Amino acid sequence: MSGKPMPNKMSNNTWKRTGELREEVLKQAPTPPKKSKNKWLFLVLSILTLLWAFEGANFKFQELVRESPKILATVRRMLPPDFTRVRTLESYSIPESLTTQQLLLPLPLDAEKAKQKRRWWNNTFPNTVVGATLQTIQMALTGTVLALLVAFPLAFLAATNTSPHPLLYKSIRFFINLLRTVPDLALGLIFVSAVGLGPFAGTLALAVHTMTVLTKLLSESIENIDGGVVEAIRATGANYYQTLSFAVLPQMLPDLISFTLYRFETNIRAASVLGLIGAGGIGHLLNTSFRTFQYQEASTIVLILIVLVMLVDWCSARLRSWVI
Amino acid sequence: MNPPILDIRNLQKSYSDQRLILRGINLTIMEGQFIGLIGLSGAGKSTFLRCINRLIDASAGEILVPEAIFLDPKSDKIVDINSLKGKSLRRWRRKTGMIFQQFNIVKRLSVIDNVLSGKLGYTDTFSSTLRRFNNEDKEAALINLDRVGMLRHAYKRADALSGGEQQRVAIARTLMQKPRLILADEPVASLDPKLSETVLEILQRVAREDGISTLVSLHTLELTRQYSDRIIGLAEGEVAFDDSPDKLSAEVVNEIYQRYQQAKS
Repeated sequence: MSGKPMPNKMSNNTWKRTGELREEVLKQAPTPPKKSKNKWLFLVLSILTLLWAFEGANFKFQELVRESPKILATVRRMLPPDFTRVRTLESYSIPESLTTQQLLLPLPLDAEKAKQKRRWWNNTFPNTVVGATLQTIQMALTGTVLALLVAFPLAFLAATNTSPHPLLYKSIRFFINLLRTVPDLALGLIFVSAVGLGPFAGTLALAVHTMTVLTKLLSESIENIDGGVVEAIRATGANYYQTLSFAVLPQMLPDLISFTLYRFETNIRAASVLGLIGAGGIGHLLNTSFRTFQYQEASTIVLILIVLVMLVDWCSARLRSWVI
Repeated sequence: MNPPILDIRNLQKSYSDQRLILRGINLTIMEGQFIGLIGLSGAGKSTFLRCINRLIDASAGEILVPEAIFLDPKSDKIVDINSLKGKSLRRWRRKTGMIFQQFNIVKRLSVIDNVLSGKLGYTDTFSSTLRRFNNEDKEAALINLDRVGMLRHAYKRADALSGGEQQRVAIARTLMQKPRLILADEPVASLDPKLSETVLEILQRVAREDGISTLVSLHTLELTRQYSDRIIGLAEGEVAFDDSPDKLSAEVVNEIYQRYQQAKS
């Protein structure tokens, strides 16, 4: 802080300094920080690490060049997408005893027909392309909402500035971080072996993984709020819950909405992958199409997924700008 | 002479680095006084104000207040604020309004919701957490907005207001608390000179109307002289001056400044 005052500071208010004064300033200037000698070592180590990674990943440029015609051929076999299974009514295998109205509307039916209707909705329809797509959306939505219900209160306990006790904050953080390292596909495998094949296992996997991610993101959002407002609300004599409602919640709300919508998007993608391990969703059909060499049908499913994700992206952008 | 509202004895505060921010403050503040608090940055003004409503806990000393003011109107006991906990502490805070340099109003809430938040210390947790208030409170909020000249902005979102307007909303919020004491920490430091006068005039007027004792820390001597009926100068965590504005001579001001300089070098 201290040190000799600058000579003639008041009278000399021009930036161009000449002669003795200039030398005086240069003499007083601090020496620039030394550049690290470890720079070269760091560079060499980085290159060695990258070589090691390429080697381990079996990545060879000459092979990429050699194999690229095959990649192109596969892509060409996928085009154009084949929509027959979406379009034709036969592929939905509607039971002959039921009319379309009886199937779609909640009309009174006799016991036998009701049983057939239930079976179609539960077993047949989810295996069609449209049914599996809808199921993917349902899984993503359910998983996200369940995750939010748990993550929202947990985030307040896991943020340093709102947690009632540091021990609570640390243990929740530790537990959440531990759980977050498990990929959702691994969680899916665990739940499939626990509760059996189907969307229930997949939804549980999505809910648990999303819960860990949302808790982390929301608690960090809480930690970033303006502490002055919290102080002001506390100064009115407000208690803990009133302070959360008036000072914390309004400030974290934009993040809360953004993160939840973003996770919903991510979960649509994740739900389609979970189908590969039999945990419900459209991934199951995608897997079957590739295994039976129905490439054009597979590209239809990929196309549906792309449109679906774009649609959700667009909807959430609208919702976000409307709320914020 | 009015009775004292605050009797502060040997108040000390140090943070974890052991350096004393407040080195034993002794002051008696009478009801209805409008007190200007001066002193350079680091002199302990903010810490001192926050010790009074316990946003910061003091390390030693006493802040004696008549219990009748905030707990039980019939009581004639005197209580030390530093010993308060839980509900009785919140009862003290709701009788102590605070105004901040950065206004600290909730920008994403409407103006009227911000004013209503001043009532939180009086309302039950459940309905106020859901931001529901009764009509009586809403009317009071509108009346207090009118008192600071902000009635027509009642249903705007708070971030649509300018700095001076936000500070006026903050004053209305404080008035909702029906305070006996207002602590204002550099309330006009972020405002231009014209707005500073407007805000201080409003603060002085409502304090007089409601008989609220007021402690205002200010960074310009001119404003301090203009509005205070008593000036307290803090230097290095001690009371360096405590008298009426006309006694604040150039020498005294210099002394406060020099003590600060000497302590620094």
